[in-house]
Amino acid sequence: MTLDERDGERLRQAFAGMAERAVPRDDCPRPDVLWAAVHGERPPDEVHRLVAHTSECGVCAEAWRLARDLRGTAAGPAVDPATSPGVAWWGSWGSLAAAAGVAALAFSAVWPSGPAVERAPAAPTLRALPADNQRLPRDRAVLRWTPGPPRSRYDIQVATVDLRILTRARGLDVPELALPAAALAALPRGARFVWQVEALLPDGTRITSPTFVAILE
Amino acid sequence: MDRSEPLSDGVLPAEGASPSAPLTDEECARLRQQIARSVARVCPRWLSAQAEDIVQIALIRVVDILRAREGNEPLSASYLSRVAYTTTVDEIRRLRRRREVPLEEGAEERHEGAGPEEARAGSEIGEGLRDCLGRLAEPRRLTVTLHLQGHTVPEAARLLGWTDKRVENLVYRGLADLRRCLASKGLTP
Repeated sequence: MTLDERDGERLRQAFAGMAERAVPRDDCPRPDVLWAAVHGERPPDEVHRLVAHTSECGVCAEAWRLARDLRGTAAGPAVDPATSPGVAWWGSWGSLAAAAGVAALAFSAVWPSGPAVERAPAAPTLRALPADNQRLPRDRAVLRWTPGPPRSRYDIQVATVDLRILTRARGLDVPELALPAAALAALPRGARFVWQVEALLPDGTRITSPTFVAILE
Repeated sequence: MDRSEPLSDGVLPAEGASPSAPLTDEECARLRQQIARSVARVCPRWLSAQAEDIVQIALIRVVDILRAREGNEPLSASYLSRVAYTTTVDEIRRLRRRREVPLEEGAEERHEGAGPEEARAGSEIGEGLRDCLGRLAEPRRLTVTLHLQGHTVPEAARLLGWTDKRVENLVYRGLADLRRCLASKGLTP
């Protein structure tokens, strides 16, 4: 590396360092606009404005670099149709009960589970208490599940049947969660929602529950 | 996180019909894996603790998009990358806005092996750099900014709609101006 190259690299590092203490501004462009600009999908005059913005906004400059780094790797082949979902499976919901079933299936994929862990045959399983498909009063909606060994911790997330997150909690030390009223405010009476728990056992093992369904009274 | 932004603006290719049967557990898992790979590519190291959250939010967005669309077109890999990118940037902005990222953590990443003095000097240089960039004539500022972002001259020329020669000259002169400005502030990156 020549002296000029080292100098240029230091300038680039200094420019990248502007992001460290930067705060987003009200006039920051949407991320998809930055993405489109980096990928040559915006006219030059708009690119001029966007680049001018990144020259003074460290947060957007960082976003621009991320889009640039992804360029090339992003233009891969289409996802194998055999593994790509369409819309028909959403449209096929014939009833709310069926919807809850599909959502439960999809929700199990949404849960960010870690790598598979070999578990001993005696590993506990997580079940809803008192049972799945229970009815919960809106003002006292408490989700409960079977506890793991002492000192277990629990992460839980709750979503509508179409997978909009209602609430989630991490690191609970008791096997229950009282749902905040605000989280349920948008749900009508009789609405079903889904929930799933992940337990971190004292030995480091992670156990993910099935997806449970609850009904709001 | 802003869930109101339009994510589907005509980039979804119509490349044939996708399965009409309900999504299987395995298909859901594959979709999640594809998104996770895209997030892994775009997620900066300092944000890695949030990577799983980003994957989850991106997956929910994809599901929302699928539900909102009509027709049976499959998603392209580039579209999943785009969703992974926009979700990651949203998370970066959220954290930067709330200052959840420990400054020391970011400093360590960008000044590996450097002590607090070097990190502070780096911050001063960043401030000086921003000021000096702002003093450049706009054409020079644009080309120097793209240069500092790692773009080659042909790339910058294509983005800005100018000739390679013009961009090359502007970068050369702009960098000279920039160095002079920084030197006047006693800064030598």
